[in-house]
This record gives sequence, structure tokens and C-alpha cells, in this order.
Amino acid sequence: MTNVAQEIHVESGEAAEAVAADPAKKSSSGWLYRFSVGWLIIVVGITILGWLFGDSLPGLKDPTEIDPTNLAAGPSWSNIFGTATFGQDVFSQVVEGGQISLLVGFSVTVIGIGVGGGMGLVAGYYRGWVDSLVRIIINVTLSIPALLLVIFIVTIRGQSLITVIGALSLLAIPALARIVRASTLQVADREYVKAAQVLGVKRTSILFREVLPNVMPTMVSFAFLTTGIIIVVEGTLSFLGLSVEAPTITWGKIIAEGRNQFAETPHMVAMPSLVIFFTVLSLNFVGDQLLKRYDIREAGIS
Amino acid sequence: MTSGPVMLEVDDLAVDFSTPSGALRAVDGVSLELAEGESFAIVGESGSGKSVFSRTLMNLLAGNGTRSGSIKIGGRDIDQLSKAERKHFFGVEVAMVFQDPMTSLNPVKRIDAQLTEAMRYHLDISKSEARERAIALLKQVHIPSPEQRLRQYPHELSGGMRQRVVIAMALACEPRLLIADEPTTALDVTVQKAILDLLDELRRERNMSMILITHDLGVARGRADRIGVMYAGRLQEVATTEALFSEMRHPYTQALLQSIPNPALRSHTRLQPIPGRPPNLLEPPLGCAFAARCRHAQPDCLNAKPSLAGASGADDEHRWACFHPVGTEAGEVALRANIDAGKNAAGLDMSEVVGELV
Amino acid sequence: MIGIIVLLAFVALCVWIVRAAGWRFALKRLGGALVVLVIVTFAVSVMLQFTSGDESTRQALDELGVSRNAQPCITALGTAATDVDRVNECVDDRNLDDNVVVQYVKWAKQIVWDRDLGLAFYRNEELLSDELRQRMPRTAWLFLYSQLLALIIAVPLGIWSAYQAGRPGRRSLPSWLLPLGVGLLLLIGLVGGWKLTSVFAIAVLIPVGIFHFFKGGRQADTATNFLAFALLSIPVFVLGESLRYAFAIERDWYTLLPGYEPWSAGVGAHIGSIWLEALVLGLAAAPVYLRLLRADMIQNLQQDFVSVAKAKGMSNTHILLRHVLRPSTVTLITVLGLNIAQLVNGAIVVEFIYDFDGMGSYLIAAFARREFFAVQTLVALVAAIFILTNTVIDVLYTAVDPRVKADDDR
Repeated sequence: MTNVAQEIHVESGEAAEAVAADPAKKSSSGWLYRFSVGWLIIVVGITILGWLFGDSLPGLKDPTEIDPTNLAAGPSWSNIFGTATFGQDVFSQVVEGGQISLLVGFSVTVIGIGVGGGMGLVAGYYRGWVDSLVRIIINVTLSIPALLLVIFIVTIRGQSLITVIGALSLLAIPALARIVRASTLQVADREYVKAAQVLGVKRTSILFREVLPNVMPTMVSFAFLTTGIIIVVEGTLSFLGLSVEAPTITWGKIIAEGRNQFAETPHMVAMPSLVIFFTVLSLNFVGDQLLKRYDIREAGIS
Repeated sequence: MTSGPVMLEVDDLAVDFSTPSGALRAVDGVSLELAEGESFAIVGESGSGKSVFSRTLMNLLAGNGTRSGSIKIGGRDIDQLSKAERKHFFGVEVAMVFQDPMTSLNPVKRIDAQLTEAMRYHLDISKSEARERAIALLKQVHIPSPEQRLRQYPHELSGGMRQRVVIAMALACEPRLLIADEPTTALDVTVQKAILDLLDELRRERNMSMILITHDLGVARGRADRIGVMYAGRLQEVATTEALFSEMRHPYTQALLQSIPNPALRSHTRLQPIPGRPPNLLEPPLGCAFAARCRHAQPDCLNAKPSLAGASGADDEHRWACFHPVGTEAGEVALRANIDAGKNAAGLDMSEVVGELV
Repeated sequence: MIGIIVLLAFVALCVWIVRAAGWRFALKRLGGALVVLVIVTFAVSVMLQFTSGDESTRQALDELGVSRNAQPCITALGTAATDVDRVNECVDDRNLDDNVVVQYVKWAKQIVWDRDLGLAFYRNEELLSDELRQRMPRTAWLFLYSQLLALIIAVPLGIWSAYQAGRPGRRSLPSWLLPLGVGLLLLIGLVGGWKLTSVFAIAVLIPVGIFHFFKGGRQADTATNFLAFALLSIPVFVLGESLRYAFAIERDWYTLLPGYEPWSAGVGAHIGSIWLEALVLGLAAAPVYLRLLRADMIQNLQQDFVSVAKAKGMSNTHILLRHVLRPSTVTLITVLGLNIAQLVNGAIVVEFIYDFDGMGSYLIAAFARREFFAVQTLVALVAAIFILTNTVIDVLYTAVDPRVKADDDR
């Protein structure tokens, strides 16, 4: 930080305080941040390994394999997440379920960022009729409660992976479009964008070279948050029995199955729940931290 | 030194902030006495610690700041107030006018509520009584049709109007000391004079003491009995207004004066900017904070901080913190030596600072 | 009687809003809301066309002697669809032979003009309005209690947290204690069983929490904020399932069986039959409100007018409640309105978990039975409530916060 900036901090007591609040934040949230990133890497890593090598991987079993000697057992060294009603290994189920949950989470986010982000960017920058159209689309889609809309689509179109991804994308697109549009409006109002306009730079190149890089951090942060939300919604759908049809395993389905014989298999609810919780918490936390890190208002002098 | 009973007594006040890059001393050993009815201006550039000083007087230090030294207002030490006294002290004995009238007023409360809340809290008067007093106050600060204004929200008033409301708010409980922190900086030039005149008028009417914080020597000139020049958290020179302008002693005061237009000098006199920038308060210099930018700086300036004293000691009316003051023999010698050497003791190129004076 | 009171209250509210916000603004917003509502309901109608099946289904139906477009009716009637007369009657009733637009207009006219919501079950010809009359109050009470609970948790904690954020940080427990504690808990869990662990965790966490609460300071704010964050990350179905296990299965604090009891069954029975569901929804909503209120208040606390109020000698309580809370309340109300959507999602899940016979479980059941006609009306109803509430709040916003100049951009 420059000398001058520091002095401005001192001049306004509160600003100085905001700076002083930082080290505490950094030291306490620093390791939480690393923990979150670590957890995400582990979850994604194990899921990908499980997908690539299946039950040939040590510790992983066939999640449908029945083990009559070990029915509905709690966590142990051989089955670290315990076993299901017919002795299936819950850990292997969670790993396989993660493939669907994470795949849905990531693909919906990518579609949401691509389509919704694009819509928001164009609407926020070019304004005019495009903007009006995008705003109507956003308002219309966001005025139906999310879960209701998804259930509606899934019951009509059938419970295939593509439909689930499509229905969830329909949620993510307007939500991201709204955020990106707001962010674009802000950036487009900045002096350097106006300066570029005055200098006669082409609008498309301003959009890609001035606006987009500044909207990008917001997009990335919200990508993490969106992935978390989508994983929760997909889990809810599976829990209600409305996500991808059997025999595909998902996290929500394991929980739904466990709750049917809660007394015998509480670990079937607890373990996937914990995995979902930590994954969503990590995604939210990373997104939140990135948002703070890139937030000009919080980082700067102002 | 000052006439009449003492209103404000600040003794060796220091304020430290703990920042992520280390401790920072924003106000450093300021001592000050102010008589009843006297007006005192503190002049300094941004970052000099004058705003922190004024906030400290109001006990408005931010959470990471710590204060040492004592402050006595109206003879009472603010650290030794009982809980009951403290409740009705700030806002009653001493009040403050802030820099920016645009943000000083709560945007979602009517003028009415903001003006009367302090009166009702401190003076324990009825709602209608408070309202009458509010109308009277608005008249005193020359706001036309006050009854109507009371019902309005801040955003419906102009900047100058709002600052008048802020002043009225500060005067609501008839404080004996008013601190005005750059009251005109955020206003149009045309309104500035009116606000300053208003403050002056009110001060005289009520025999109130006033501390006027400003970065503008011109503002201080017409309205203050005495002026203190602040730099890097320390008072560098304190004098009556006439003395400061006619026989300034501190090279910083001189540099400040030469950096603003002065109608007393012949026209086309070149303005003299002060080279360099204020010291980094995180790593304060060992000696005089101004030495690096000073024409008079000698080796002794780099090793020790001069204390604020006059020709015959610390009780003088006119005091300065300089080993080689302007207008004295020591100062002339130092200046000559630096000009001859081409640079001052801190290595500053003298051609940057001497300008037209030579 | 109640209807008249509600109507009068609504009219009074409208008059007040229009007076406060101005005719043009209120009309503009209401008009916009109506347009969105029409588009939403029409989109639902269009989507329902997908249930009519492909061309081969249509041909097969034609050969059977019923309308080509009878597929939705056959789905809805289920086993009763063998009766050709009933199928034709249904096709006629739902205007399936018309095109989408005409269908939509007739549907809308039936609801708005004839105030006839149609049938809930085509099979046994139950009226949807009867079903709603029975279930709506349950979900309404659930919403009310959960939101009250959420506000009771979030508002004081949010204010307290925001206040602590500005106070100097004090030396706190070192952060490496946390991983150490978690490790210790895991060790106890592996050796002494998980029940002992939870007892131990509670025995440690509650004193630490109380200690932090009384000590205050910035760390207390950070801790509160992080806890809210963690609570926010728990999916509602996980939360509902865990609380069901803890309170209804492990102990008898909540009895699942008798289901919902109305007020007429006595206050105890009523609250006893609904508190756990309300708690789940309340706990899900509380962190949203807490974080929002906290952030908003911190921002307001840094405004100059807070310094001014302090300089006027006003007490901290006065400043917090009278100067800072009020603008933040406006934000909070807005979010309360937006949160209705989240609440509907939550109600669907919670009512499913607890077998609570409200609107949410009815929706799930209607989807499961493929009662698309009822679903269409219900989706429209929910959207209407949501849109109108938010429009009213939007207009109220202008009335409460004098600064808002109908900024359409954000």
C-alpha cells in the first residue's frame, strides 16, 4: 500500500479500522480457506478416481454388491461409512453418487455461466431492447419457486440426467444473468469504460477487453456459490425421489434410502449428509472469500 | 498566556492506531489550552492528524485506536467522568460539526427527529418544547421557513442548507465548546464564506469556544484568534493569527503560506509547492518530521525532535518546534549554509525549494 | 366475515401505498407484475402441452374414439379412464381441443371470473378449492411461525453481531485449538462412542459460546457470522432429517403421528403439532436474515451520521436501534419477501419429511399422481402470491425509504 493511501486510512478512523480488521480475518479465514479448497480437491479427486477405476481401486467396492454377513452395519475399518440394508458398502455408494451430484453441479454451473453470464453481460452493456427482454426473462423465471419449477419440468419430461441438468440450468441461468447484469452495469459506468468509448474503441472490444475482465471475478465467485446451491437442489430432488431414475445412485437417494430404516441405518443418512454439508460449505466459503477478495469496495480505500 | 477561564486543556495527547502494517502514531504529544470564547484553528494538510485529533476530543476514536495524555473540557477530565456525567457530556458540553453535510444526516429520518433527539435526550424536555427550540435554532442558522424544513428529509435540502442543519444540531444543547472539522470543505466556494461567517457569528453570540480544523490557511486567517499548524501528528507552531502571518517561525508554516495565493504579495508571484511528501507514519523519522522537505534542515534536525517552545520557553504566546526558525539568526545561518551546499541535511536539492525568495 | 376484514385491510393497504408512493409509480409496478404473472402462467400452460404425447399416441387415441388430445385427461383419470364418457367430459371441461392460447384464456377466465379453481382429483372429483381450504391454513401457520422464529433468532443476533464487529478485537483463544479440538472429538468418538462425543462437544461448546457472547469483540462477530454461514450450508432436507431423528425418533419431544392440530384443538396441541416443522424452516431462514442484517448494519454503522449521533452524545442503544436499524429493516423486509420462494421450497421438503398435510406435500402428491390440471392452477397461485407480495414490498420500499427514486435498473 502506498504512503498516501495509508494516510487516508488514518484520516478516517473507520477505514483504518477496516484495515485493522483484516489481519484477524486473514489469519482465521486463511486456514479455513485452505481447508475448504483441500476438501473440494479431495472430494473431486476421489470422485474422478472412482469413476476412472471403479471398484478396482483399493477401498472401493461394487456399490450394489450384497454382503449377507454384514447387513446394515455401522462404520468400521472395512466399511468406513458403514453398510446399507443388504450389506452394500455406503462409502462406495457415496463415491458413485458423487459422480452424478458433482456432474450435475458442474455442468449446470458451466451452462449457467455460459448462457446466463452471456445474457447478463450483453444486457448490462448494450442495454436497450436486449436488456428489457433479458429482464423480463429473469423476472418471469425467478417468480416461480425454484424447486416447484424443477419438479414440474422433471415430472413432465421424465427423470433422465439430461432433463435434470436442463431443469436445473433453467434455475441457474436467470439467477446468474441477474448477478452478472448488475455487475456489468456497475463496471460499464466506470470512467475507464467511458474513456474507451470516447476514444472510439469498438463496443465489442470494450466489452471483451474492459468489461469482461472486471466482471470475471464476480462470475467466478458466483460459479462456486451456484455449484453449491445446485448440489443442494439436486440432493433435494433425489431425496424426494424425483432426480435421475434408479439404478443410478446419488447422494440424496442414499439419504432417502437410509431414512426408510432410520433405526437400523442412521449412518446412511449421516455420512452422505456430512459429505454434502462439507462440500457445500466449502463451495460457499470459497465463493464468499473470492467475492470478498475481489470486491473493490472492501479491498480499496473508498 | 490566554485570558479568561480555561475551556479546553489538552496535555501531551497521543493517539496510536494498530494497523496490519504496524503501530501508527497519528497524533503525537499535542498540548493545547483554549480560553472561554476563544477560537482556535488547526491547520494542516491531509494526513497531518488534525481530524484524528478532533475526533479524539469527542471521544470518537475508532476501535483500533488508543489514546494517552489527558483532555480536560470545562475543567473536567473526560477520563474521570462518572457514568451519569458522561451520559450528558458529549453533545452538551462539547459538540462537533462534521466535514460532509451530505452524509452527516441520517437519510431516512426527518430533520425534525434528528434535531430534537439530542435535546430530548439530554435536556429532558417535552416534544413540543423541543420542536419550538428546533424552530428557533433553524432561525438562528438563517434557514428560511423553518417549520416547513422540519418536516423534510435531508435529501430535499441543498448542501449549504444541510450544513446549517448540522450546525443547528451541534448547537442544540448549547455546548460551550464547538469543534468544526473542515466544515466547508465539501461545500461550494460560494457557500463556504456564508457558513464560516455563520459559525463566527454564533460563536460571538454565545461566547462559545471553537476549534476550527481546516487545511486552508486563508479560512483560518479571518476567523481564528490563534492558529496551530500541525504536521505529522505534532503541533509545529502555535501563535496568534497576526503573529503567525507576520512573523512565522517554522519553515513549514512559511512553506504552507508560499504554496497558497497571497493577495499581499505582488501579482505574478510564483506559488511554491512543497516538494516531497509527508513522512510515512509507520516508520516515523527519528528527528524533525519536516526535515526531509525543509530548506533549513541541518544535521541536528535529523537526530532529535525539537519541542514546541517560544523564545523564552514553553509559556510564550508564540511557540514553534524548530531548531533553526525562520526570521532568526540560527535560521538564516542554516538557510545560507544549505543554499551554499546546494542541498539540505536530508539531501533535498535546494533548487527545488528556494524559488523566488532568494 | 373474515373475508370482508381481509378485503378491507387490503383496500386500506392499497390506498396507503398509492398515497405514499404516488399513482404513476404504483400503477407502473402493479402493471409490470401483472405482465410477469400472465407470462408465467402462460408458460406453464405451454409446458403442459408436452404431456399430450407424440403423434402416435394421438393417432391411437383417435382410433379409440376419444379426442386426439385426451392424453392429459387419461393420465389424470387413471383407472377411471376406461369410461369414454368421462374422458370426453374431461376433454371438454379442460378445453383440450382448442389451441394453447384459447385454452389459456378459458382457464384464466374460469379462475378469475368464475372463481372456480377446478378439480383436485379427476378420479373422485374432489374440488381443488376444498383441498386448499383445508391445507392452506396449515402451511400458512407453518410459514408464519417459522418466519417469526427466524426473526427472533436473527434480528437480535444480527444487531449484536454488527455492534461487536466495530468493537476492538480482544485476544482470543488461539486458532490452532480448533483443529486440535476436532481431532480430540474424533478420537473420543472412535474410542468411546459417538454419544459420548456429542455430550462432550456440547459440554465444551456451550461454555465457550457463552464466554464469547459475554466477552464480545470482533472475534465474537466472526464466530457468529461463521456459524450462520455453516447453518446456511446445511440443506433443508438434511436439517429436517437430523431434527426428526433427534426430537421425534430418539426422544419423544415431538410426536409425528396425530399430524396437524388446528387452534380449536387447544394451543398446546396446535403448537405441539407444528413446532418442529417451524423450527426446521426457521433455522433454515435465520442465517439468511442474520447475515443480511449484519452486513447491512455494519455498512450503516460506518456512515458519517453515526459519528454525528455519537457526537451528539446519543447512547449506543439509541444509535443502533433508531439510526441504524431502521434503514436496515427496509432491506430485511425486501429479503423477507424474496425469501417466500425459498420458503415454498422448504415447505415442500419439510412437509414431505414430516408427513405434514399442507400445500407442499399436496404438491408432491399431485406431481406423483400426474394431476397436471391441479398443478397448473397451483403453480399459478404460488407465482401470483409471490409476485404480488414482492410488488407490494417494492412499492412499500419507496414509501418507507424517501431516497429511493424508483431505480428500475437494479
